[in-house]
Amino acid sequence: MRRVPPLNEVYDMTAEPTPAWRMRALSLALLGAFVAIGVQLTSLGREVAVASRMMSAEQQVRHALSRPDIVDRHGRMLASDIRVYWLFADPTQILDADDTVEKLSRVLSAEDVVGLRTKLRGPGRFEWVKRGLTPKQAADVHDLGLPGLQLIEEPQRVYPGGATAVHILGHTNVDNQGLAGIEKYIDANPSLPEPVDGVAERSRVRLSLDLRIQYALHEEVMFAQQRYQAKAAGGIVLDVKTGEVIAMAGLPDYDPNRREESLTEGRHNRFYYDAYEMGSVFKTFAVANALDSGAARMDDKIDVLTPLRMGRFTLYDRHAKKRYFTVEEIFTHSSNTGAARLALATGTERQKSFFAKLGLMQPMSTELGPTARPLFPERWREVNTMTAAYGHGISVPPFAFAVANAALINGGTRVEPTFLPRSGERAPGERVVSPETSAAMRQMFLANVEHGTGEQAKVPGYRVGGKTGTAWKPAKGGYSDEVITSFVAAFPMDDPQYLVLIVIDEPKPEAAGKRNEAGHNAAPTAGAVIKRIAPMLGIAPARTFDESPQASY
Amino acid sequence: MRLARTDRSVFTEWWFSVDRLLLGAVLLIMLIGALVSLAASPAAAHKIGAEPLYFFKRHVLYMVPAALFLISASMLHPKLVRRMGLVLFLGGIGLMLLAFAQGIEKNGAVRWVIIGGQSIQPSEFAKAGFIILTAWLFGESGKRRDMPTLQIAIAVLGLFALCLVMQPDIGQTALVVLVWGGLFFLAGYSLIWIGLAILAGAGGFVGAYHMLPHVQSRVDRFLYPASGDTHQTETALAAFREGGWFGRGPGEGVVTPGLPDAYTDYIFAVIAEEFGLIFCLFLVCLYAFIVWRGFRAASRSHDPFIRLALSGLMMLFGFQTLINMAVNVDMLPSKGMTLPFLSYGGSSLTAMALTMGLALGLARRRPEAGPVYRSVPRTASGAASSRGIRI
Repeated sequence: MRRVPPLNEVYDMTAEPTPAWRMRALSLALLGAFVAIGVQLTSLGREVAVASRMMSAEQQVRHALSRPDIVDRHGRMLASDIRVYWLFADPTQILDADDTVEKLSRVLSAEDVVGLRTKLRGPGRFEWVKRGLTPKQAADVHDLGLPGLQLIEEPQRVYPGGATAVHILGHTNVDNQGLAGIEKYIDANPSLPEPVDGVAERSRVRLSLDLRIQYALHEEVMFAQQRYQAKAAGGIVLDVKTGEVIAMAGLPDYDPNRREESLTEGRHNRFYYDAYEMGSVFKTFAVANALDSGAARMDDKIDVLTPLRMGRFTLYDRHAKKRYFTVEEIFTHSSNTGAARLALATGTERQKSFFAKLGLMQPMSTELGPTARPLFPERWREVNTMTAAYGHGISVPPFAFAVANAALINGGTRVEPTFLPRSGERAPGERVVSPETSAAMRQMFLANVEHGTGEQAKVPGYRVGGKTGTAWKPAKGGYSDEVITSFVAAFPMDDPQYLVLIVIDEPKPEAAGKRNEAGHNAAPTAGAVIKRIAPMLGIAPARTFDESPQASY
Repeated sequence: MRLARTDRSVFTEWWFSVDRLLLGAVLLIMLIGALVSLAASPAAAHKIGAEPLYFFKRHVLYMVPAALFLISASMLHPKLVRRMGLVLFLGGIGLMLLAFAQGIEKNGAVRWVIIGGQSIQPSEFAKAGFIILTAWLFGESGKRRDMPTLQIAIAVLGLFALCLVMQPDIGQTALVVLVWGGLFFLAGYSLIWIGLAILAGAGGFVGAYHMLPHVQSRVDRFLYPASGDTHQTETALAAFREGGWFGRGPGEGVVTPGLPDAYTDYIFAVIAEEFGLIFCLFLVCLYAFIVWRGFRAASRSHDPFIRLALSGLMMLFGFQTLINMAVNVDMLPSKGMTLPFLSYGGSSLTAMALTMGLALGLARRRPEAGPVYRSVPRTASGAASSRGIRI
């Protein structure tokens, strides 16, 4: 064992006091520490200053995000970034606040300089003057040569189409962060933008949307809103096989370039985020479910003459003819008692599970987030089964309704809606109805436009099918006199590719003596839309005898 | 004026024996200090509502006595340095006690004493004295075994540390203990004792952590930034990033004006923002050069006192610089420590000038006896003979 030397004894008696190696070790340690500081400084220098650039004690100059472009399925621009300038001031460096404000007011608008004088006299070191100056304004401010003012270049979102696709695109805030719609989705999914190739300078996000279709739909819906003096009007064009949303528009909407408009009540996408009682268009489900379950066959005769009594509730048919209807006639004449009897024959449980299979009992989810939550009675009694057969007592977002109908006519499989493009071949979704039922549904859709309530949706040369719906709007303690009309259409009916849903909220009769039912507003609107978009979608009109070119020689 | 080696005047003798590179480096740092103060002054003055160049003018004013101290102290003979050290230490302790009597509290600490309308931080001066005194005691321990030199050195450390902890000034205490430990190591004591001393130092730190809430909070905030307000550290780091390699330019800082101690403890961050990281790296090299030059001179001397005192003063200078820089770049928890010659503050500046003056004086080349070893024949039992050669 080594002896611990007494405290007062030097380390090594034979060596020099204050041994040289210790001095060397200590000085090297000190120099090593200096090297460590240098290394830390170097690593700090390699860090890129983005977020922490330009900050004062009170406030940090925020930097706007650069966003990917948004394009439609064919690469047409829907949203992009431009360069604007943000102007801010350091009040401590402002020599003369009055003079500064006076000179700035010559370049900027009057409301831009309201309250600026007080801000520039404040004790802080940072005040915004204006965000979003045009290059011309920025150059003018710069040329004023005022001290204490600073300009930074920032990206700002522009939507060349204005309101056209706003309900899908959403909009951004002043810092270029997505606040709604696809813009919000992009922020939540940073891997979404397509990688930039050598040619394209900016990354971009491609949507399933077709700008031409979107424009046509938006315009037709706008015409409809004006013609029928409706509170709101909207439409959806859906690819029934892939679930891609080709277009979606709803009025009133807003111009995303003026994001403050979005704050006005009722300008949101009500056909996605609100739920409605849809009315008779819901009969598509009652009929399809009855056929698919075997509760009724196409040629069965159903009693539509006797009023249907259920407790205190009695259901009459207004426009029934004085005979029993086949299932197809129930569809084309839109018989409430007939649909209710079909639903009762099918059964309550089966109706509920059918709605669930179609995705109508839960909010539907897409890139725009969840739709409105459907509203239905908690305790589903037979009377609810009856009313649900013709679309009352159950509220769904029209968007979800359109998606559910796609399953009935595309051959019978469920589709998952999306706003992003899908490649052609996909595994078919869950089967909802048999192919035979789907074929029967197509036949009835077509028959309804050929000689039923949807006659005004006819488009010469195109085999269009559809179903009307006129729903009384719920009001306090019952139903109001206002209606919401809709028309769900598909084309071409031999092999439906696209579904068009038109919804008109509180339409007025077009002229005295005319009616405000779906067949008179929603159906012709759907027809007008299909007439415009079918050629763009590459669907050739079928030649029929009465339209064949006449020999003119 | 032309200087010749044949000239035997005090100035000429000084000029030819002083380490002119070391002196030049110190003077350069002092000059940079004035420049930096010119850039940092307006923001700091704005905050207290003074005229923009208030701090710059005061800094330059303090540079006059500082330069005087630097040059005159560097002319002192080692014997006078020793006496000077004793005077500084005893005077410093006395003033620190007077500070307690005056009881002027600033930022929760009693560090300042007012003499003739001038507020002075006596601990800054006492530090240099303490190191010289300790070096003297350790140097003597090798020569005079009849004196309880180590016991005296421990008592001196205890007294000084107690005065500092009472203020409280944990940063300075840590610095002083660190330098004392370094001297203990250099003096050649057994490594076993050095190990014990490190343990004792660590124990003292743990004790401070548990007994002083502000120490605890600072350490916690360093180790776990989420546990509290790290505004100072964050802002300092932002300043380094903002400045980049070349800086935003003098007076153009936008981040550091938000720092409460921008012109004292966080002057390094201000320099980084306004003058850039390359300049910071140059400063690091300059400080490291001074330390290296001092140690070089110390290792060339054969006088234990000069070796220890010079190394001690260099350690004081080096550790203080390193701690300040490390705090600025977020390598250590924040503590109030000035960056020698660059931080604003009269006491800090003049005391540091005095310290470097004394170091320059000790580092002067002078004729001295060759290495003197005590030839102590070992007896069979290993105990040292009492017949040493006394010098």
